Amino acid sequence: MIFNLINRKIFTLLKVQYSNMLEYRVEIALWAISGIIPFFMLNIWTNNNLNESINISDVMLSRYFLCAFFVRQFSVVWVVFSFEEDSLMGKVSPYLIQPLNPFFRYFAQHLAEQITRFPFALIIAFFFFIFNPESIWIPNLSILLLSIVSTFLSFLIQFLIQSIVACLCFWTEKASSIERLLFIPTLFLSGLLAPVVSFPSYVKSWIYLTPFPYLIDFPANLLSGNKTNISAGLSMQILWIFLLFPLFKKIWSEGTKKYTAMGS
Amino acid sequence: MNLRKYLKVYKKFLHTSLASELEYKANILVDLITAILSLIGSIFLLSIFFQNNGYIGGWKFEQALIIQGIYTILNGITNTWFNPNLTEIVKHIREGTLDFVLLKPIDSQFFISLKKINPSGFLEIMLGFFLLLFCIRINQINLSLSFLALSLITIICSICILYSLWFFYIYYHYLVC
Repeated sequence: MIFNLINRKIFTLLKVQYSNMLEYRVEIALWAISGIIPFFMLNIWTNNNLNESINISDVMLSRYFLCAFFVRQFSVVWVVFSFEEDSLMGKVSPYLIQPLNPFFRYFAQHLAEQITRFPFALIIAFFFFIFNPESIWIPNLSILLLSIVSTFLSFLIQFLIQSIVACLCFWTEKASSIERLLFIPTLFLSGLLAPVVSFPSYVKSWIYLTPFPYLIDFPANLLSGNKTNISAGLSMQILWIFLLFPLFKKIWSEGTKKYTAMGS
Repeated sequence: MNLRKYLKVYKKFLHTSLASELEYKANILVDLITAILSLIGSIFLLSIFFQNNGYIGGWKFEQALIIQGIYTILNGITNTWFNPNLTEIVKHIREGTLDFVLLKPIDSQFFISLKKINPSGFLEIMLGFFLLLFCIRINQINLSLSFLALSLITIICSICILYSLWFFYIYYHYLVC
């Protein structure tokens, strides 16, 4: 009975958010196109034969960057910007009295956006293969499933981090600047612009202890068939989620206690 | 006379927008750290490209840093002047308050594209200049008056192009909204 109720909630939320997202399909298509930066990076790598020094062939590197593009497409998170706006506009108060944590709403919003984005990402991949026909490959089913799981885990990690940052809005009103700060290491260390194997050794010695390489580098390596340690990567992703989730719960309960609606 | 009026109005713009931005002091501090980190990140990425290659497309690492320096300056200008105003315009159009801007007895383009300023971009402009000075030293570029004048003219041209590109977007918004 309770399970049924939760099920219905999730379904309704997703349906509402999906139809909402379909309204903005042109904007989402533009967002998808703006994510093609890995392809520019690929060009820099292969046109200058930079990949010879890191022992990755042109074909493998192009698959890597295509996968990085895909992983990034399905792990984009903007919850802090939505939450900040809602909190500044005073929309959080009505959400708080509903018997549903408002973050489920944002979560459904993100999932719905990913569903909307999927066809556009496929079209971009199709064009990528037209220009790079030699890099076509079909990953086997288990690898495909595993990489979908790890992409989702990467999305979860980023969603949790941003939700924690978003909760800071209860104290500072503007938390998006902290998110912009966190985005810098995410951009440069996650493997979106250069695979982590190419990093100098003084960075590689500590980077695997941070969550960043598990956001894009690990799922992209997995899907593209590059060398990676599957069990270690997945367990690190799960470990980070187990570390971040209690933190989010804690900061959320502290924040809602601190929160007072305007005029109260 | 007219110019003096615009200068006076611009002073007021500066005053009000700086005052409103300084309301969120922690925000500015975080933005400053972000600017420094993003420059470090870019140089880190460049160094990865150059770690086993002396030249990329005929460019040395020290020369490529010049591009990074100019990019940082232009990005700082974008973040200081263009970006905050553009978001403001989009808001005006969405909420229907653009009419009030058009009715004001002042050039609308002047008003709309210079009203807001984000002080945290200044640091980026400064960082870019320092990087350029550093590049001039390590590349042993001889500074002469004509060289400086030419560089200044090209940078001013690029700022004009950047301005036009950013605010071309407004007309796009006019068309779709």
